[in-house]
Amino acid sequence: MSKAQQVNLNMQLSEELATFIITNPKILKKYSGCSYVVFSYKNKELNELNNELVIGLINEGKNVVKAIQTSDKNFPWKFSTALN
Amino acid sequence: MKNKNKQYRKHFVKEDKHASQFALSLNNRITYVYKTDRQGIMMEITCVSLEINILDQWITIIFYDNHHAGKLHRHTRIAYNDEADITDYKNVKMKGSLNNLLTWSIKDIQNNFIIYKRKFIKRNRPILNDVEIEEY
Repeated sequence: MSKAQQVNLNMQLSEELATFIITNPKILKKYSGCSYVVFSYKNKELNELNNELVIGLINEGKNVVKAIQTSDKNFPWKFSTALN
Repeated sequence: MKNKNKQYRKHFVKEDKHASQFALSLNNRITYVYKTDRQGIMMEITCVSLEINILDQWITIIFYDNHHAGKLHRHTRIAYNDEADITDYKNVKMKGSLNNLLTWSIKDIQNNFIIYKRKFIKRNRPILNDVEIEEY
């Protein structure tokens, strides 16, 4: 995957997640005020980078939620609280 | 006595916080905060944020920071009615001095604020209903 393709995929993932959360207010309520970090089901490079980001955010004192993309169209995202 | 207190404080302050704000247009503005050491060398980009005015309230919809000397990253607010955000490195400049990264963050917001604002408003239409929001 080229760098341009990777950037496009990443942009698309964040947009998809934001739209999904807006349309599922229960999730927004459950993780109110948290910082979401996206994990792709196929892009390991992105995931490694974002794992570092999760650690940094926890050290900042933020409540971090891992948003993990799935291949299931009915449940495209699963969420878990990231702990130190 | 006042002067003595000032001197005392100055002696123990290891970093200075700098904050500035400027308008991009009537309803959009940038705020940036950074820390320097006593020699004026930048130590941290605390935040470079895009704030938009909705219903007479300024809300931050996107901001950059590198808290605790980490990599520069972006926080994108998801919803109008909650402060949760998506944090990422996408298209974020990572290499360079903190001065350059601060300049890059400010320019990125200056150049793209309309795009960021449109995306935010578009996904929040179901929440904002018929509220009219000025682009500029």
